[in-house]
Amino acid sequence: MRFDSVTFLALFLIAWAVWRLLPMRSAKAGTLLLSLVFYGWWRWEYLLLIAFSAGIDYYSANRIEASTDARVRWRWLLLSLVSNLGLLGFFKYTPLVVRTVLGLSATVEPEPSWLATWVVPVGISFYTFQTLSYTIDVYRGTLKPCRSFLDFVLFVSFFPQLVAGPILRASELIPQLDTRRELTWLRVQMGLYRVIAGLFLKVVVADGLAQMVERIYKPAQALTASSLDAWLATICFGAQIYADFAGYSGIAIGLALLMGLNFPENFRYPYIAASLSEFWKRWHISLSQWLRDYLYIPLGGNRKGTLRTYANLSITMLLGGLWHGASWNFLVWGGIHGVGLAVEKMLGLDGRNKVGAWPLGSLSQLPMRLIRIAIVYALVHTAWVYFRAADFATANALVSTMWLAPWGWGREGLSQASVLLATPQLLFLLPVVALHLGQATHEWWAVKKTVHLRVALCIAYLVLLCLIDRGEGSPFLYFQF
Amino acid sequence: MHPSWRTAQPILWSVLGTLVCLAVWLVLFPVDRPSGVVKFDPAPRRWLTELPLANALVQVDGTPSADAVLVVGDSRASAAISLRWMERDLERPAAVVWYGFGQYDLLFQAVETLPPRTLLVCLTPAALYTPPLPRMQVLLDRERSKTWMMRLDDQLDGAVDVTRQQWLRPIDPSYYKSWTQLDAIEPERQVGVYIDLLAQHKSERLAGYQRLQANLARLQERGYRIACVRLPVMSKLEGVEDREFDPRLWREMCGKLGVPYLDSFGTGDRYKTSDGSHLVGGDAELYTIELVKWLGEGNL
Repeated sequence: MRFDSVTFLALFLIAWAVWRLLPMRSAKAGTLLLSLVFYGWWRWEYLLLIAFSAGIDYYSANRIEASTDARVRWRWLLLSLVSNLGLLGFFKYTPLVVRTVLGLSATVEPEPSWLATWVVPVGISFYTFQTLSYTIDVYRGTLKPCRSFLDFVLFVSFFPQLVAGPILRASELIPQLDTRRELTWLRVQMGLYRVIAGLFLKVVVADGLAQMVERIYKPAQALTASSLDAWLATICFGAQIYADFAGYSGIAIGLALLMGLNFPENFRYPYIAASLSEFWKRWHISLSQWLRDYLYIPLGGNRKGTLRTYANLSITMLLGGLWHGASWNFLVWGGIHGVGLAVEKMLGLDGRNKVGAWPLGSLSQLPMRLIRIAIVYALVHTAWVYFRAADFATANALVSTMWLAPWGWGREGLSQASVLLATPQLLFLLPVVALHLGQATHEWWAVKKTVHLRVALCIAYLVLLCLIDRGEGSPFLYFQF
Repeated sequence: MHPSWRTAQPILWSVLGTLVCLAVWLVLFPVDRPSGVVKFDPAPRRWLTELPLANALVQVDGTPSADAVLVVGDSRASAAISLRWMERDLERPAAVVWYGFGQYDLLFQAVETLPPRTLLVCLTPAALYTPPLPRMQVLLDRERSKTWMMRLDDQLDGAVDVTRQQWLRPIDPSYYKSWTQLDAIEPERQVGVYIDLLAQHKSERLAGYQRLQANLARLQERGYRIACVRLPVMSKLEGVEDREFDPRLWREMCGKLGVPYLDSFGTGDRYKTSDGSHLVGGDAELYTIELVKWLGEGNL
């Protein structure tokens, strides 16, 4: 079910009433039922996967807690890891493996017909990571297992974050399910603001930019695109994916606020980052923290020497790339970030800026910081090409055009320039810039003091949501992961 | 929830501010003003997926009630006729049943499943016979594979969107101009497409012509009121169509059946097209006004 649909609005109103008005136990059961309706709305079969994943992890965690024998505890953890990663691997990577094997075979084998209709269950990457973190935390002794199966399944399937995050830890959500927090007007106000801003980002900004991106990223177009075409489309995609995903996260956070719950932030104006490591503290924060805590640190982190640190960074980002999807493109995308992070560490350029502080620094630091922002921006956007392009050849063609082709417009020449001047879609980039600066300003000034700004933005968002011709719309990009 | 007026104020101000802005917009840009480059024609839309022998996804736009005028044709019909203007001037509901490269055989199957008994058939030789296009079958398969929940979502979201547009004119999508210009097939290429298309399958097309005539006669016997029209296109394209399919056959068929026939060829590029074949929004409205005048004269 999509957040921007009428059926979701109906479901949310019922869920809100159930959560806020019924006795706690009934409220939990009702919210769980509605979460399952939310997830199974288009394909109920997927509910079996959630049930499998949640069942295994709930039981494993309890067995881990019950045992003092290290080997037994490890076996139960292994069961959870193999089940969850096996489930994820089977659904996400079977097509990639089959296609790669077929591609490597000496004879030209036709692609099996079932590959064309292979569907990855929505949100599987998110909830498997969520349940995995639970079992690992219990194994590490940093979390007590959840005693109520109802609470645990609700944690896994809670509808605002189920299909595209933020990836919550059990310690973040389960305690909030025990007591119903008081719903203040301030909370309602903030919740509505986040939902409206998120819808605006998705419907107006992301869907508006999608057309521009699609036009250049079609494989046939990409091969003949000029350098400026390619850069323009890629910058638009950078804004589109940010608006789409940050929009979704914002809606999820807002819905949780309206229900009286707190979700962690998932984005903090990422394109203001002056290093890749800072970028990952600002972009898809819940995923990067997950990768740090459950992959990078177990691999040894930075505790096992310099070379091993670089290798760990690269491995973490490569796997992070693969988490997004089963294609070599995602692997390259992760690889660029991994190598970039390693090089940054080598040069000592990582982690100097405290996230949350005024991002542009003092006036004397400003020129150097702007140069670094530009470099990171260009690198991140070069990597986005692999993320967005339909295949490896298209991505390579676009990247080489962006960096190696003579600077200029394509064969359409003037008409392209007129697109630039006459296309208000490009103006949709402005809200993204404004949002970055706005968020930074909010954090700097403290959000509660900017109520007038919020009201003004809210009016602008609502008016544009009513007035922009939405056309077909498209699902949230991160639904496919 | 504490009824604290101070913290509730921003919500009220936001709602009030939005309503004021929308009211101003409504006054400045009323819903019923003419289209720009892209046709503004908010109308309910649905798909016909269960037609026997369907190899394409047939679309119905508008209100196909029993007293409606039902336009039958391909994408050219969908582009050239403004349902909004037709409904306004005819003072009765209007709908269009169509799909890209629409074929009469399938379109008339669709017509018989719909309530309207007044038809406006848009005549074009490509609709008599064009080999089935795989991409049309893909669209049909995609729609058929949707669960009823997905279809319900589509219906509800579509209904809300149309209602929104009927109440509140969205920002004029004339900014799409740049896209329509760049993405549309250039007229010269479009002429080439038609030359290739119409040069082939001439015998199938003549057989299709006979079937169209038989279909119209059958519907007439069942009490349908019918009119036929040849929609305007770029003059270069007119030449191609007339060369490849004798235009006298249309007149002959309509004469034989006794149905009114309007030939809008020969207007000398009076109406602008995006690609030589499809009228752009504002010009589609101008054309619809003329067409409705003609329909009124024929008491259709």
